[in-house]
Amino acid sequence: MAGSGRRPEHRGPPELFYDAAEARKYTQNSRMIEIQTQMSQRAVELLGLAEDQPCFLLDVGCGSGLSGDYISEEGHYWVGMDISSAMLDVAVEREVEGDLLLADVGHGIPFRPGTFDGCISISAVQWLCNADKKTHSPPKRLYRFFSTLYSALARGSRAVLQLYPENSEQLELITAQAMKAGFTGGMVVDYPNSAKAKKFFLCLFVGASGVLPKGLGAECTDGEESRQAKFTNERTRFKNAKGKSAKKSRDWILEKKERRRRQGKEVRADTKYTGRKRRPHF
Amino acid sequence: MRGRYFTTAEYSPTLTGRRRNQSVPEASFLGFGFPSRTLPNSTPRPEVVSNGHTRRLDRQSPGFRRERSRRRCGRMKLLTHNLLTSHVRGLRPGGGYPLGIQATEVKLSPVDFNAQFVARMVPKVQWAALLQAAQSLGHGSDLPPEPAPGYESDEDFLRRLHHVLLEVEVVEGILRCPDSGHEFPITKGIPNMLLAEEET
Repeated sequence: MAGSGRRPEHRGPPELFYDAAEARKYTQNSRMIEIQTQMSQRAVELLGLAEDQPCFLLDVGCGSGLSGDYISEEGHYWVGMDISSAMLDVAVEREVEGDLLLADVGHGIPFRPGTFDGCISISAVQWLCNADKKTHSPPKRLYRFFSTLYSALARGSRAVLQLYPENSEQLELITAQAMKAGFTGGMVVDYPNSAKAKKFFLCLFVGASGVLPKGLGAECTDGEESRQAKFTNERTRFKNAKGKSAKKSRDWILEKKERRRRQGKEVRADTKYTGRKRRPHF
Repeated sequence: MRGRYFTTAEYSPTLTGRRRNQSVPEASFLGFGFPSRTLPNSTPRPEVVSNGHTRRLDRQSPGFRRERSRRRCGRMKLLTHNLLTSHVRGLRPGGGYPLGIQATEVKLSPVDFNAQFVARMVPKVQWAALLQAAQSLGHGSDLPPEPAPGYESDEDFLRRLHHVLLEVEVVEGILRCPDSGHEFPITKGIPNMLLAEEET
């Protein structure tokens, strides 16, 4: 995977990758907009903000401000930071509500202690794992980012960072630096059974830690049920002994629906009509 | 769905995100060529462009207030300036604050007043720095030298503070770090906080 060029991090530094052409995609491509909005929705949900209270949030890697739009919709106020001036120009064009800063988060978060009630970041932190200049050291830049973020957040607040880690070492590096900076918390993985819908959220707590929220679509993989052998009252018939059920049968359809439900896809509920034939009526 | 015809009331466009057979208020498909009711107030309604369609928002719809308040640009507010510090390497602890403002263009833009939010910001804001910044932009006369106790219920005070914190915005200018003298230029309302490699 390394150096494949398929990952945007391998193509060059973020300030050059997110140029005017790339930035335009974030205003025109409805699929990208939808994914960004969904992820920011989930990130704000994981923040666990107090109900009916306007909060002051930090958006790291705000880009064109799609995540900020969602924050404004929820009635909160925000400040966004990004390293790409082309993306920020798009944000200014779109007339987002929050304030914007052109800054490299690897140099630290330039805010006074206890400023923010929470921090979200959508697909930005993995960029810090790359050394784009001779002087860059990813562990140091990550530590600088997390330690300054820790002080900029108010006690008892959370930071939810959605990221696309390249491999397990990268994930380990990021979490290790976050713990070193004083954060508690951990990883929340949504839809772990799906290749595309799988999303990593690093949930970090400042001070008194809460309970780590559960990922979506992960009910089957964790919990006590999966660790124990299942007891069933049914007698094993031949079809079960053989493995898969016959194609297009009701069992096959139910199995397929269950599998797709685990992947976090939208699936119709199982009813008595599931798998019934539509015969012609006269 | 196969073999059945839906009337528009039953099968609403997917853009509204509603499920079929759910009752749809007439307002939700105003922009799709349906005759719109005449509105009592003649203020022009804001328009949204999405997927190539120009959609007019009804004043009852949740997007209306959002769109109306979006008719403004994100510039550096004094709230952000008050919370911002310099992050140049090698400053003394707590140094690099407050950043001096040298503004060449200042803009006033109305923001919806939210008393709860402004009251929450009072303990976070450093008052002396706010007064200094507001005076340098010519808006310092609105503020008392200290927030009086019981400010949470003083709406007059909160409105004046709201004006200074959220409505006075710097569009062009320079922020100067008081300790290292580093200058952070503000262009189009965006402070450039990038540092050269030797300063990090």
